[in-house]
Amino acid sequence: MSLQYFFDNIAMLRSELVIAVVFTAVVFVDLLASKKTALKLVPVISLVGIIAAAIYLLTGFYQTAGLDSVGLKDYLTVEPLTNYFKLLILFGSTFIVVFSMYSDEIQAISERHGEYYSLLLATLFGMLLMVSANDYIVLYISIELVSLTSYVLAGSMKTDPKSSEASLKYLLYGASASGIMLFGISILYGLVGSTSISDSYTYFSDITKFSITNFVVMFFILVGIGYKISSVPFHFWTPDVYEGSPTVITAMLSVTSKAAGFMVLIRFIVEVFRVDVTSNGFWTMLEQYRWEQIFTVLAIASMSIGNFAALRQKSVKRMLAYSSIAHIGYMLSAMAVLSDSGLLSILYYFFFYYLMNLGAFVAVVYVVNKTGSDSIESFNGIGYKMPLLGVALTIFLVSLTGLPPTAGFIGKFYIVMAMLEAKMIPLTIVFLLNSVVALYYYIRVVRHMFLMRSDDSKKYTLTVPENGILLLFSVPVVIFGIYFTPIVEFIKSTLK
Amino acid sequence: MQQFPFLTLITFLPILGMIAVLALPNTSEKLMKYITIGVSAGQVVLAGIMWSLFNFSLPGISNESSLQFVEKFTWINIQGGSWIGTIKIDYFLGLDGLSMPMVILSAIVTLIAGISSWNIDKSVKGYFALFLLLNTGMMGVFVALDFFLFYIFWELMLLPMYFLIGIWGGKNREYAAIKFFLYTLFGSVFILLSMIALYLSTQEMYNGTKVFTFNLIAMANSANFTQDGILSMTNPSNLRLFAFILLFIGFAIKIPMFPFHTWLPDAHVEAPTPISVILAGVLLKLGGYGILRINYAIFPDITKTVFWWIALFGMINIIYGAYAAMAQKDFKKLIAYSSISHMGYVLLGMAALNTIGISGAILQMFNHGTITAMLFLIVGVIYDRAHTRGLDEFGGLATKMPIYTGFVTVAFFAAIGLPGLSGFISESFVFLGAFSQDSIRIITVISTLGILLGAGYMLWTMQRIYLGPFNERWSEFKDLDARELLMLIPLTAIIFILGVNPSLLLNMMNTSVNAMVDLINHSPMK
Amino acid sequence: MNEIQMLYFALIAMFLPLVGFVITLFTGKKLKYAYIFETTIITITFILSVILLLNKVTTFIDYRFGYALDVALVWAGNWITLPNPITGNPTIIELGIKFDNLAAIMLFVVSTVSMLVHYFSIAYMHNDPRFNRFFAYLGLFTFSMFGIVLTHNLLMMYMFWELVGLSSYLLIGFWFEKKSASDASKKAFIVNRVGDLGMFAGVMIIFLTYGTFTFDKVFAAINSGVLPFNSDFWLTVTGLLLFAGAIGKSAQFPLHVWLPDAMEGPTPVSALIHAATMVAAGVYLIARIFPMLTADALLAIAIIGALSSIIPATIAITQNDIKKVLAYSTISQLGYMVLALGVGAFNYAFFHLVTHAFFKAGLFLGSGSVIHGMHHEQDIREMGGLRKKMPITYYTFLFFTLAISGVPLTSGFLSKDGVLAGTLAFGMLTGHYLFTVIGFFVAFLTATYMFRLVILTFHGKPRNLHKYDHAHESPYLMTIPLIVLALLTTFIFYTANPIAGHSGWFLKDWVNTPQTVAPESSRFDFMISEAKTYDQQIEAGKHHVIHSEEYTHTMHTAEAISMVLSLAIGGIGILLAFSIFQWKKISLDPLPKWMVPIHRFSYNKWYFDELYDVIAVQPTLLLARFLAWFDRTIVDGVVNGVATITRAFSMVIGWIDTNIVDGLVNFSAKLADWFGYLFRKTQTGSVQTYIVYAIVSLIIAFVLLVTI
Repeated sequence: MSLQYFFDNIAMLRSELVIAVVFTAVVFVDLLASKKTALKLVPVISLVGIIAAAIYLLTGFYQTAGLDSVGLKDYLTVEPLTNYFKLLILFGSTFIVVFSMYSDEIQAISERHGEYYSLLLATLFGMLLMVSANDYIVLYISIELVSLTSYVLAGSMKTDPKSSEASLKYLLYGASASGIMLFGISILYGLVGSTSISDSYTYFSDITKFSITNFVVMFFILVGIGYKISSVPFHFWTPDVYEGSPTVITAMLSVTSKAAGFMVLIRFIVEVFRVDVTSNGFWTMLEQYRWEQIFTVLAIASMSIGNFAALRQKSVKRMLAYSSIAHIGYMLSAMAVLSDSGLLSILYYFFFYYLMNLGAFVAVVYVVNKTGSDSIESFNGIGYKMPLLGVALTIFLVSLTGLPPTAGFIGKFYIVMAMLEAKMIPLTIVFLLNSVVALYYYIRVVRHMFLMRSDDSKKYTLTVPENGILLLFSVPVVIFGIYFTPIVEFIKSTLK
Repeated sequence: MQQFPFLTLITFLPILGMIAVLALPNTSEKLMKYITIGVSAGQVVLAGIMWSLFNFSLPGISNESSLQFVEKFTWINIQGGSWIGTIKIDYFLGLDGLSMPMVILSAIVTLIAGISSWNIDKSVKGYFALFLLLNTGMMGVFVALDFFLFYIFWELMLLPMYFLIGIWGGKNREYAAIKFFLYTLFGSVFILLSMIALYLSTQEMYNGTKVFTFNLIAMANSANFTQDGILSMTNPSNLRLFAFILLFIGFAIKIPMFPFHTWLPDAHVEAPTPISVILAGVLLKLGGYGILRINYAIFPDITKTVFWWIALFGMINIIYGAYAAMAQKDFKKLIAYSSISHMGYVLLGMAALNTIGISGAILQMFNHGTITAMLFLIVGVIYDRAHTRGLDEFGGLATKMPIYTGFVTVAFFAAIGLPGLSGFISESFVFLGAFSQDSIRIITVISTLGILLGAGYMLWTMQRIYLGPFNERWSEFKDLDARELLMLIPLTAIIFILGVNPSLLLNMMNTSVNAMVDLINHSPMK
Repeated sequence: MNEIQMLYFALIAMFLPLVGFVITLFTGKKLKYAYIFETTIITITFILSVILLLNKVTTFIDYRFGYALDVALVWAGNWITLPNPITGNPTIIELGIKFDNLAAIMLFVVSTVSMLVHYFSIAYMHNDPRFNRFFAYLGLFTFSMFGIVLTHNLLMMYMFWELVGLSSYLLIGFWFEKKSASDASKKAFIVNRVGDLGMFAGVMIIFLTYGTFTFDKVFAAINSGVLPFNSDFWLTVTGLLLFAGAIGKSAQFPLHVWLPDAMEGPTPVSALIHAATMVAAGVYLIARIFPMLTADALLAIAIIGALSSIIPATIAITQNDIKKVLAYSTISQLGYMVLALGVGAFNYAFFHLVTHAFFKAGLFLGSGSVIHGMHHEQDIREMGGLRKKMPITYYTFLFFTLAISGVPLTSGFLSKDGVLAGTLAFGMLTGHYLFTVIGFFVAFLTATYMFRLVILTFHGKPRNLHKYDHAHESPYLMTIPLIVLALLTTFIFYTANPIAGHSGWFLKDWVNTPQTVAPESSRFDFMISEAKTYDQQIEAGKHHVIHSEEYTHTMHTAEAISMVLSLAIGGIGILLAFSIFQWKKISLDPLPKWMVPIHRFSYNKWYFDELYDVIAVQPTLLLARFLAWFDRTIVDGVVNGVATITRAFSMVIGWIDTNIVDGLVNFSAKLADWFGYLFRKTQTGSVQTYIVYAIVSLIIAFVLLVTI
């Protein structure tokens, strides 16, 4: 591989490069600049860097040629679909940074700001890599990169024992999950003789080689991915980690890193098990691997357990954690359809999920800032103290429930459509009934905000930018609920 | 033909009002109230104009060219390379004989409820903003002819209703509000399911190609079903029946039909008076309207096979609701149960599958809307004064409040189905229609027991609250004030006018009902 | 007047009271003299009705067949038209009036009694705080009653039927402050509804079969062989279902229980509604549907009529409330009319309806006068000797009593005699003599209890001196109506011959028996005239026929026999009353032992109220309470149960989450901690120890590698 080729084609990884540069910049600024300057500069640099990366990504969004000609193709895939996920992750990260700037929890650890932001960027880098990974080794490394940095981020509130506990738990689980995955990968390597994901298709497709080993491998790799997207039954870490982590990191874990994980899942399924796509968009799969059944079971388990567990949570953060498991379940049920429309509906859903979940988290961040607690009682009467926040959070929660006219409804609408197109009626019914259950706990927050009054008469006010952020999320949630043509058209263009 | 957008205006006028209310400072409560009432009055005027322009001879139902006041624009149109991801949703509003009476009812009841909201003093701004949002949702359901749009309006009502009960309701309001919300959502997810299944099964021509459609009118034409769609007419499995049942449950919860009715007593009892009025006056009608517009028109073949069950549930509603009403101790709860009983007539009339029965059902929806609205106002009058509604705590109010008792008498006897008042015609039509349908004749005969039971609990209530010796505890009571009269007089007038001249509404709906009956009769039998 | 004018006048007469009602109701509160307006209106209506009646019976009579044939004037319009372009079979509901002799006479009766009651009430009710409202309600009632009288179709009949029920409800409960009054009004309405249910079912069958409610169209269709569900049986059932309405309204057994309670209403109301007019509506209904009644239906009607005549008569004899006695007497007399219709004596039934309306109104108004004079005392045990204090009341009351007892020169004699003759003729023709026996026995009882009433009230010595001293004759506004009614109770208004009613104009020219249209297989053949077919009648636009020759002959014989018999029996009854209560020849104080249970049974009204309470009211309330409980506990319980299960499920998951899952996590954390502790122990801080550890580890690794 000549260096010239490398430089000719490295531009395909433009956003990764930008992030790497910004990461270095942040480390250096933190080291070199005075503490005060660093405090101001680091978040801004991160923010500008991420936005720059996103814009840079957009400039070559549909450009796919080039990578093929170099050896990189075997390790990384760059196509509009991965670019879409990268864009989502960059978009999410932008706001993670913004929220960090407004989060009192993060502001409280200002002495370690450089560390915090650089880790955020490192995580981001890992996620971008994960999305592109077309090689088990790259995949493993990127997952580990994301995980390791996440462990630290989850524990960034060192003084809070909960945070440390979260970090430890996350580490323990992460280590075992990625260990298992690595084990699977190593067996696969022994069987196939290649670490390329695409190459394993030939192995799996050969029916004569059918054995229990295949399933073990398949399962072990699935464990790693499942852990990343926190699907049931690999979700155990989620609630505690979400609860213990700073709210911003919780948002990151439930939004950006899930997108990365899901892209890996998609790639794994599509590259390894998909034989062909029929004219009406259904995928023909390798016969002996019953993916639709596996996904159906995973989806039902994730939705139901996520929702039922969320019902009883006192902590809103923890509730959102469980609900994110349920949302993964919704997307997994679209995955179970194994069709282009299913895949598309996942892509739509992710976008809307980003909007509403990030919005919900930022609202929770504000409430935690004001009341110092994320327990549901601390939301009492919030709707009267901060009306805009109350209304915005209501919109987010309604959208998470999936009621029109909000974006969340459109997301669900597309998933249901994909499922019905494949005539998967029982799964659809379970899916829809889960929405009803979900309403109960989402609306509970609304109830506390509006139907209950708080005991104290403290007045809370939000600054203009803080309100601006709320509007930035809530307005699109409503608008996309009513008019979703542009976003859907855009997302569809990433899938050719 | 581009014409004046009546329907858009009547639907979204409240949204404008809501924006205005939200823009006002918290202090100008009076103005908010005036805006709300003004908006509703505007809707009534618009409904009146539409009525005067309405052509009674156009059927609608399954014939798009005979709809009136149509506004149809492409709203969402996403084209795919192959069909994957293609979706086309229209902003499609229109009226026919089925929806016109409901639009009028909705406008009138909302206006009355708006006036009734005058003495709301808690979080006035929020109340009226939500009230207006609710108003849009209700109106929207009646005028939307694109299923997607219909569904959005349908769900749009839930949240405002939740807040209106949950914040401004009675003692047990939170339980009632969440019960209402969960119950209705439970029903509407089924509607969603069937809606998408229908979408994937029907196509209509658009720019020369066949595209999937949410058009309710196109769905009502069996020729538009695709050959291999999930709900196509030729589908040998029972999926069509299944979709019918899901839709039916979704709408039956709104009606509310036994055994899906238990949200209603709670919601009614806890809701503030104006919201009870809207609930009973309009919201319950949405269920009946939905069944006719969607279940009947789109699944005429299934309708023909299951109508016996609809009648049976109608009968259970009538009898069961009446008995349950009789045992109540709370005035409002009694009226709530009587609503269940009276909505049973709607189901029974529908099940008749003939012109007179379905006309009776629609008329009953309208009449129940006005009569029960009045009954809830009547409960509101004493609740405002006494802050209690126990049936046994009053007595002899007729002595102290003769004018009020006069209205009560009218409302009660209208509910009992006294000739000359509107309830009589609709009940008679329902019975006459249902009796003509051979297989539900026995059910109809048993249902007539409802007439007797209705008289029983209504008169008993009359006696306990208004007759007998005057309870001195309430010696402070004043007779109706001007605002209360303003609400009760128009409703009374409607009750009388429709009692004497039901043709006003019957003529409006007749052509459409005939078209519907024809659709059902000519659908292939499974 | 021509036909159109007649109909217009009839319509005006019908709607005038409604106008009176509305105006009086809305101005009554402000204008003290609103009642005068209402009374004027009713007087105008009365004048109109007289004009209409005279015109009708003189001008619109057809003599072409050799006897007076009633010509029905019909005005009808479509009320609701639902065109059905698809089937081409529109649903049409007509409204219309049919003005025949029956209607004209009833119009006259109702307006007369109503007017007299209005005048009477001005005096009787003068102290009432809701004086004007009372008159408004009377107006509403009169309007509703006119509706029943004039309608030409069943639906309208049913509608006004219900309206009459409403006005009755309002008037019985006029003094609603009294619990008993509001109870009675409720009871009246609900019991009536039971009958109405049956009637409505009948109406539904009619509409289903014939697609119309109009009497004449229905009859024509039956005559051409169209039957409900194509069977005679269902024609009978339909007839009986319609009759159920009459059972309710005319207080026939077993729905008679509301009428005695209805006496809680002001006495003029009892006179107008619960004696003369509304309760007669049931009889009028049977008369209207008479042609479609089959033999079985008629027999059933006769049985109900017979039971209704005898049961209340046995009760009336022991009652002490002046109005209650009259109430039971009313039921009994209505039973007579129903019985007469059942046995086919159509014209006598209607005749009795008219005569009874006047004399029973008179009796009630007389009792009202007594109650007024006695300052609202209704118990006859507190009266006695009032003859001297209230002469006009007494003599009119006595005259009415003679009429009801069937003494010659009164109208009652003529009509009652006819009814009895009808039962006798029926017995002779069909062998059902039990009706005859009951008829005559009731005549005996009637004479007895009515004279008991008169004697206890007016004769003898005053039993309550204090009340007697304050008693006074009523003002002229009250006594004049009594006198007018007494005049109307004389024979001369109906026939010139005081002992032969059938030869008078009322029976001969005014009231014709309509011919049955029931199919041959299910009718009494004696009701069909051999001479003229129904088709011929229809061609001429009428359908009234005289009975068959056989029936006419039998009836002739029966009339002669029954006149003698009834005179004798009535006489015995009167004599018995006098000997017990006036002359005290037969002592009933104390009661003979064998009579005590009978007396108690009669005094307690055969325990009907108690029976209905046990078999109908309590079970209904119990079922209601059960269903309400069921609803809250079971149905809602299921809903809440789903919620609870969901919550419980979430609790289990939550528990697993916090204990097992988190426990595992905590366990691993503990384990890690323990290892940490272990290692910390090893972390002594001295480098030498570390090296020792390293070397030891290496050795272990080496050994392991080698051995494995």
